[in-house]
Amino acid sequence: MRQLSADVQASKAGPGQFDMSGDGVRCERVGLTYPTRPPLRALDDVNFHIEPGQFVSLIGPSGCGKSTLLRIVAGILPATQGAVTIDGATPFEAREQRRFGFVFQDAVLLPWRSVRQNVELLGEIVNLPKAERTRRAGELLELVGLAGFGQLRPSELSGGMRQRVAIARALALDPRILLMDEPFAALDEFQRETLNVELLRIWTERRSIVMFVTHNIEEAIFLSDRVLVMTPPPGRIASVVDVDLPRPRDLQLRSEPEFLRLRRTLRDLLIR
Amino acid sequence: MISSSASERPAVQSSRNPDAAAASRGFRALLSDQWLRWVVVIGILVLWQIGTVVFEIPKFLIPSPIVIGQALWTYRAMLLTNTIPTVEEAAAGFILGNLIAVVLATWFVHVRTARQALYPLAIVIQSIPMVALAPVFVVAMGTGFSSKVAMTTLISFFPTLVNATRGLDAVERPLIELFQSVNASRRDIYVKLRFPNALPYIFLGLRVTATSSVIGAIIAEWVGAQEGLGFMVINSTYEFNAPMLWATLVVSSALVLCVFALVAVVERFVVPWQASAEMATGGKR
Ligand SMILES: Nc1ncnc2c1ncn2[C@@H]1O[C@H](COP(=O)(O)OP(=O)(O)O)[C@@H](O)[C@H]1O
Ligand SMILES: [Mg+2]
Repeated sequence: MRQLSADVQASKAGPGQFDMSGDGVRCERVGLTYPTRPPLRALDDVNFHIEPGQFVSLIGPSGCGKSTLLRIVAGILPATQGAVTIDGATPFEAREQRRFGFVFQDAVLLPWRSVRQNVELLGEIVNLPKAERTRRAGELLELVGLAGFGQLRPSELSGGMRQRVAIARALALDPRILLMDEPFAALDEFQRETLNVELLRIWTERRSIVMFVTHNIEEAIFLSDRVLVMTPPPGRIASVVDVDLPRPRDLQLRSEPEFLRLRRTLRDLLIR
Repeated sequence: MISSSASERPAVQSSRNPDAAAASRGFRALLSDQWLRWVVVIGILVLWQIGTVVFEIPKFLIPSPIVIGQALWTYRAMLLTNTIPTVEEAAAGFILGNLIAVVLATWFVHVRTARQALYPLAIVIQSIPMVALAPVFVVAMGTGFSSKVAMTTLISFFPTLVNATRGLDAVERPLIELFQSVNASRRDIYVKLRFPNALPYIFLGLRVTATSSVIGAIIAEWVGAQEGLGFMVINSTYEFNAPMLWATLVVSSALVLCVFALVAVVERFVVPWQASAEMATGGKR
């Protein structure tokens, strides 16, 4: 454990610089059957490869196995067929090396901790020194635009602010891979747009692979380098759409012809 | 009780609330609430007093409040010396029963088979009427301290076991996954997630068992005890001393109220986030 937490510190890439080496996330013929009665085939023959630093969205109807796929990548749930590798390692090994950051639909902050203590939580679990935790929490709160809110309790924040705290918490161990499961689905349209822009800014500073699950086509295009379209059931990747829109991006982008074309393409793929 | 705790909570919150107007409004509401309660209590006492005089009810049947007040004063030394053993029995059983309950609940959430084997047993034990158990403990353990503590321990055990188990279980799945995603140990998940999450539930159990352990101690003292408030209840009944009996009842219920208030105060310090959560949802849980 100690050894591993030292690794986390050593592999820390500071803001701006990003370690582009490694193989990224590779998913080969991955299948998953839940041992329910009758057995439920949630994923079937899923293949993809995400290069280091790429932002990839997973889009598809409810129940097509998006959350399941994130759990498999994070090493929380073993695949029943095929293999996932994270920079050549198994998901379980990658999890031991603390390479993942997780953001969920609900912020799920710990109500008994202040905002700052919530951001420090994962650092405590991996035994980072107190001073280091404090430093990181300060930086991250500033990064997500919540400097000065550290002493508040989560219940005192709006939904959008709570989700920012959740993002800061996920970044606390400088993950190589950020897994986001419909993180903005519970927010209203305006908060969602703001946070989309913010997320891109944060991602530019703290570059990592992002696997971003969403139901929202525009959000997927706006954020991603690539969109994986999933279909039910059993969940598989029906098509992959590359998004060759220039970065940095702003909300104006959404009226560009190329954006509209991509939107039409994705809509057709999802309705089919 | 429930309404009193709900109306007292906002007062705690208001001290941290920057909105001074809202704070003072909350305080005024609390004050008028208190007033209303006192008016009702005093009203009942006055009617009681008038009733006993008008209908000439003999004081060996139902003594008037003034007679009870006099008895409280007359027997003050005896009441005090008999309160102490009751408090000790209740406190010992309260601490022991709740400790066992939390430890067992911890075991239950980690070892599924332990829960499956023992939880039904706990429910069976709980279904035995406690009053009927008092003689059983006396027969088994004698009339001393230990039989009383056995009783209060058993009474304190079950409500907290149920609530603690529920609280330790009631952790959102994404939070577990978050902990797992950084390879947290089960110990970390317990210490940093499950236990704090269970605290409001545990306090639900503590509130119930704080009062029932006092009542349990009194009931236990009905059977062959030489001291305690329960002993005084039985003794004054044998002596046909109704004022003393009623004075003992007043002290007993005052004790129950004190214990309940004590737990409520401790809860506010230990589980402050719960108070603010209740504020946010308008006092509902
Ligand atoms: N722990 C589980 N046990 C059994 N079935 C599950 C479990 N989790 C999810 N499922 C099922 O697997 C399918 C995919 O679920 P999920 O990955 O949550 O889909 P999505 O996130 O795309 O909505 C659904 O039919 C769901 O009911
Ligand atoms: Mg899902």
